[in-house]
Amino acid sequence: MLKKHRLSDTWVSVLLLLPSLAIIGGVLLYPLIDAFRISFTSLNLIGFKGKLVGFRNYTAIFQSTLYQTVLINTLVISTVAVAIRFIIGMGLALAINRTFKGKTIVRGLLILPWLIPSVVVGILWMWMLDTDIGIVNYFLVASGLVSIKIPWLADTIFSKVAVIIAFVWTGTPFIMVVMLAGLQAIPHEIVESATTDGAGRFAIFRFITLPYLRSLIAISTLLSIVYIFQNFAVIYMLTKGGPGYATEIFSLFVYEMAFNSGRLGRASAIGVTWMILLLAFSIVYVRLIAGREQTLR
Amino acid sequence: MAYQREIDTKKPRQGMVEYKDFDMLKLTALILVSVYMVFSLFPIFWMLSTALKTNVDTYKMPPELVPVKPSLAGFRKLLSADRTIFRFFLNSIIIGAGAVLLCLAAGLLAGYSLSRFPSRMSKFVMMFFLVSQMFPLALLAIPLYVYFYRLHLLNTHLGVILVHGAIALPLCLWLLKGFFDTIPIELEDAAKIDGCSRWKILTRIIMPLIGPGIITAAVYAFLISWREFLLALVFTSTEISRPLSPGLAVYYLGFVSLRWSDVMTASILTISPLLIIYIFLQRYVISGLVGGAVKG
Repeated sequence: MLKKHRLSDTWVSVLLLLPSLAIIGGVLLYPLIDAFRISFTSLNLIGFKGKLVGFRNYTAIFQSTLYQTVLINTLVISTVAVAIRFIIGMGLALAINRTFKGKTIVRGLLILPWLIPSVVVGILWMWMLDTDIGIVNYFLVASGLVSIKIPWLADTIFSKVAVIIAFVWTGTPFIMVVMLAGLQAIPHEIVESATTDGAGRFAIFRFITLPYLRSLIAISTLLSIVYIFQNFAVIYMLTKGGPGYATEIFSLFVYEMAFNSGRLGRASAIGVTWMILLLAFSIVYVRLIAGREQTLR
Repeated sequence: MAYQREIDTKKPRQGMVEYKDFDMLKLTALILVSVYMVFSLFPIFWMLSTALKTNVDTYKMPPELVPVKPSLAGFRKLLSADRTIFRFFLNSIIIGAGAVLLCLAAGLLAGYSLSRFPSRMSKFVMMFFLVSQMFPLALLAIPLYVYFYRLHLLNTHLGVILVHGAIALPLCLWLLKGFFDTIPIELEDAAKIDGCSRWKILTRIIMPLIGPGIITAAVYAFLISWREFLLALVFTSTEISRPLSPGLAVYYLGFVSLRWSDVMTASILTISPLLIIYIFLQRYVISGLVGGAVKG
């Protein structure tokens, strides 16, 4: 079909794009570039005063043990949480994939935790994991699983576990729904002919299901990790990054440096390293999981 | 195409799961799903249960799973002492609606353009969507705070609307473009031959057809805005413009451990619009959720 590209067509197409370009460019792109510039200054929240200081912010960051702690926390918490999310989410998707009575209801109910805003997730789990009057400790002690109440939010290790639990609770539905959609896209005939040829369930899973889902798994788990990187409210409410800095992740670190300490320049530098890290991680990650044949369209 | 072997279905073959194991697998699946459903839903139930108690009762040991003396005191307080929460609620609605309008207005135009005039630009935009998800919001907040301060956009609805709209726009663009793609261009060509102006084509023919697309994008943008916390926290300071997400957090921050029932009540208020949207527009919510990942 011949498409005539008239000059007026080009004008119209650009005109239609302008509002979106203006918004995205003005609110997302330009500030990001500006943040990059700010990271080379000593800009402060008070009076917005600051001057160019070259790489000083960056060298200070890389020498800071706090930065390293935050880096490790972010990586550990996000990868562990997403790994668990994936295992459970994939399992759920496989389990629900057959049509049975009440399937829509079950699926609908399982998505509920994802809808809950992060603030509420944080507050809710803070309440449930309260050491003295939280319901979780009550069940744990009453059922005899533990002998004393666990100080979920006051212990360096348990606070990380608490954060991971909250993230798993709220983020698994995303993986589950995406996997379900992917499973339904696998052609029936292939599975049927494989079963007729004598393939067992695990073989089908390994040689048919997984390859088909590979790029979907890559994208959804990556997005899942990114969402945790971005997430602020859950940890802010649950532990505020504590105890000490045990659950401090990048988003909190940048926020506190910028708006509590007022050091906008330093905070920008942290944020820039965070972004570069994320981009590099994504490229490597997708390559690894999706394989070289699959490229992002 | 597959060559048919003579299969004796009664004899167990290599790799074939025996009938016993088949049941075992189904049973394990059933148990695991049930266990997870409890894990998934109990916190929500507990939130409701706590909200229906009085603040004092929440301290009872052993805790009552179902409140013995249910009380709506918390809800009544929302109308009197905790009225600020309602102000936050209203702000969230205004900001959410604003973000939706922004996304739809810009997104419909751009989605149409990207769909009908494919160019290198469209591939770039698609790529950009994925990358934009990785923009650290905390980092963006820094320069934006400076700009908003100078433009007097701090603590206004407009400021937050702009930001929420911008965050939701990439995916809305993607969704809308996808929906436009499903409408064959022949429809427009036919209308053009019949003498319709381009504008008429857009409004009379295409808009109605992408109704579902509009709803999906609108629902998505609204959900994003309602749930957003960090930027709303940074750019607002009082109940003049502060939406519910940060409002809820800051309001109870000082005395949260003494007013658990009230906090839970306010939390329920926070999630109620989302639940309503979910109950009535479930498939739009899910398709928005999946759209980002599957189409990528």
